[in-house]
Amino acid sequence: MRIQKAAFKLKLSEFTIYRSNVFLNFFFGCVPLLVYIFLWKAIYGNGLERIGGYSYKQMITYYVLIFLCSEVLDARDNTVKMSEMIQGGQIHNYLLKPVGFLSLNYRLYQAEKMIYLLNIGIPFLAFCLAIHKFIYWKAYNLLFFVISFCLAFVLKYMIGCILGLITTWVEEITGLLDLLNNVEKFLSGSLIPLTLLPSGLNMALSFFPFKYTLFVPVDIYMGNMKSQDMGISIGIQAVWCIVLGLVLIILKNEAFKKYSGYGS
Amino acid sequence: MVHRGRSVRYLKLYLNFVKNCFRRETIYRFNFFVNMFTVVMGYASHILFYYFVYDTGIEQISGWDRYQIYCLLATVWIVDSIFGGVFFFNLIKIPSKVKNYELDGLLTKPVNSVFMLSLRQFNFGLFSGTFFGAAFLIYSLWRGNIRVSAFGILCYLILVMCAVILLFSILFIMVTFSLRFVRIQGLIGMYWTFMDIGKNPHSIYPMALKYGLVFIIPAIVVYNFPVQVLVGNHYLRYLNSVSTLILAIAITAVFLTGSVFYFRKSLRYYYD
Amino acid sequence: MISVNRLCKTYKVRQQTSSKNILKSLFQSEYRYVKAVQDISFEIEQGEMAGLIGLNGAGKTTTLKMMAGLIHPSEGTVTVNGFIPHELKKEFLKKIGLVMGNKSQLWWDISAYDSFELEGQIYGLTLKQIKEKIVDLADLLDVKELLGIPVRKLSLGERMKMELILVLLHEPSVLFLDEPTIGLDIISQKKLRDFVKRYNYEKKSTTIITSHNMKDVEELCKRIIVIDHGTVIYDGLIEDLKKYSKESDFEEIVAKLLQGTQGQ
Repeated sequence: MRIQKAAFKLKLSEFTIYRSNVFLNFFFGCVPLLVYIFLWKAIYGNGLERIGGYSYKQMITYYVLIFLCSEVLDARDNTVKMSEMIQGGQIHNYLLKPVGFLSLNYRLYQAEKMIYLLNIGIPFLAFCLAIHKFIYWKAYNLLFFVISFCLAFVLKYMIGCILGLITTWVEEITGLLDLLNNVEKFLSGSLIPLTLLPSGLNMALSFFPFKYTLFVPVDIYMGNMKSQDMGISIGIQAVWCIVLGLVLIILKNEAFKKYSGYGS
Repeated sequence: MVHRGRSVRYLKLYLNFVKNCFRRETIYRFNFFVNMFTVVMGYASHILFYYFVYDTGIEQISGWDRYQIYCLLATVWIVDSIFGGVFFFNLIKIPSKVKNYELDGLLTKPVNSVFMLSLRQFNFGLFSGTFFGAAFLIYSLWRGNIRVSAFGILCYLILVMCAVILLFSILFIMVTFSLRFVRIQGLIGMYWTFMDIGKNPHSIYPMALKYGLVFIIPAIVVYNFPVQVLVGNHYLRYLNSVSTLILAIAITAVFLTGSVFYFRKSLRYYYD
Repeated sequence: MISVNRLCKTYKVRQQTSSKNILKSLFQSEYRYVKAVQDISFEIEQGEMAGLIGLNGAGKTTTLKMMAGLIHPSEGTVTVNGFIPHELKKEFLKKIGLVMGNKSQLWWDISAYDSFELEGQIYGLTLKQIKEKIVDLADLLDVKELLGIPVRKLSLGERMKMELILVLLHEPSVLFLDEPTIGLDIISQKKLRDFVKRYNYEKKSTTIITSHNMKDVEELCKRIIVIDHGTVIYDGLIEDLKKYSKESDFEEIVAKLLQGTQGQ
């Protein structure tokens, strides 16, 4: 707990330096959302009441939430930092600390994201208020959304760490990351709600972790699911967390073994 | 005569740049393919977005049917690829070059400095997208039964050229601006954000916004104008094409001269 | 007390195959074995300061890393204060400190003080203890005014002092210094050496230094261990070495010593 507090303080100092950048990024991130309002208005203009099970209002809200979630859950920086640490050898310093590498890294990550969320919260709410005509509000779903969001948070972190640790074996990782990023954008539902996809394809996507990092929490908020399906979705998320958690631990041990075997 | 000799010299110089970049690219072959594939995936997902939207049973999006939209996406692909391959990486390196006084070496050479700064690097990975985009355009025209005249194709090519030069000018202005004021990352993010607005069919926007996107931030000129002359379902398409052409050329000329002028002025400021 | 007994380390290195056949080189690799350290033995007493000297690639850093526990020895044993280093037991880690001259542990964008706080928490110190330690060390190193400045704005010499503070926060009884003066100007080098000397005198910490800077070794250590091609070619007092040599300049003496083995 004390380390978490220190991590929080450290990340707060770091945040204050980049604050203006963060807010700028956030505001520019809102522009595409405004474009979606026009684009989907034209699409719904064909007279359809619901597309992919979503009403127009829900559709806009979908993108707003996707935007918030993907900003908060984005783990790319952590992955890049980790791979730089591995390649530059700074990871040695972490190996010699009496606190586990991953547990320290996770605390720092969590602190960073909490600070981000706290800072972005008010501008985000203001933005929602400004476009409240297009926002679908359902307090009942919020609780399940939060649970699912937390699981997605852990899931996304683990995927990021796994990719970072892969640097131990694969030297160049940024190309791979960009590629994966583009694939993920589609598979996780950040471009289009996955309910618009044919059911076969949608089923196939259930076998990848991506949709559970973004689409599932947001879809849960929309409340079109039966409560039973909601439970199943959250359950699958939890299973993915366990599976990837195990993979991560094994990978970390292998990576460290390779370190102490080969050195640099 | 002197003039012709100069353009030949510049052409030769440029071919030399391209050759050098090709040499470099062959060394990092694996990277080249990963980059190319990454970019293809990006455009593919954009296409898939509309593919699935039209599959829900809608007929048109504010007047655009499926294949017309595909033509728009293909044009986005082509324009971005040419710009990305020829200019992009040159431009974003300018601030660091100026700050490290690497520019000094360039300015002492008997060659146009803007030419050297903006055309040195040629990126094959990004440029290859031009061919994918063109193939997709031909496919969409064929599947959509869209007839195009020779005049239409000519207009299209000129407008694509204008689009690339416009993209260049706008980023050039931003990069120059960043020399004096802001850190570059934020500005580039801003650039893409606003340009992306033009990648959607222009008719979804309200009139006032549309004017803004033509005359202030010409994102619609860049991506929508070329397609408009090719597939636009206006009666009087011919007349429309000519006016579109004139407008686009005028806007491009203004932005290009403005950007080069602004750069030269800032440079003088920087060195004084 | 450190005891190193018949220590060996062999690396398996992937050989770069010629680029004629890319496909083949993607799937097949040839390995060759590099003996970085061969049969090294020595003992270092508590409170002693010893220098590890050798040419690039002689095996100094590998030996140092084995003593710190970062690398698993291929053969032989190391014990440090009764611990086997590569087991990385927490009690062991709390007793050692490693400074690498070219690998910073500080957070780049924020003040050194923020980095120290997290570091102290990792080693289980209370905030009060941390503060006292920082003030103490910063006083000694004359960097009190710089504690609140972002690390990236510090000069290399100032940064190195901060690196030292970071490592000394938990008062390690064994200190490993890998090229501590690399890239520093002569005044900064001198200040750093004076500090290390004083710290060793006051805290009686065992200190092992690797350096290419003979001035470092000559001023700080009584004893040197010269390593060449992975084996010890001299282990003894600097005084003795000087006594038996025609040269008076220490650097010359060491150069002669190493050239002698190169010629063989």
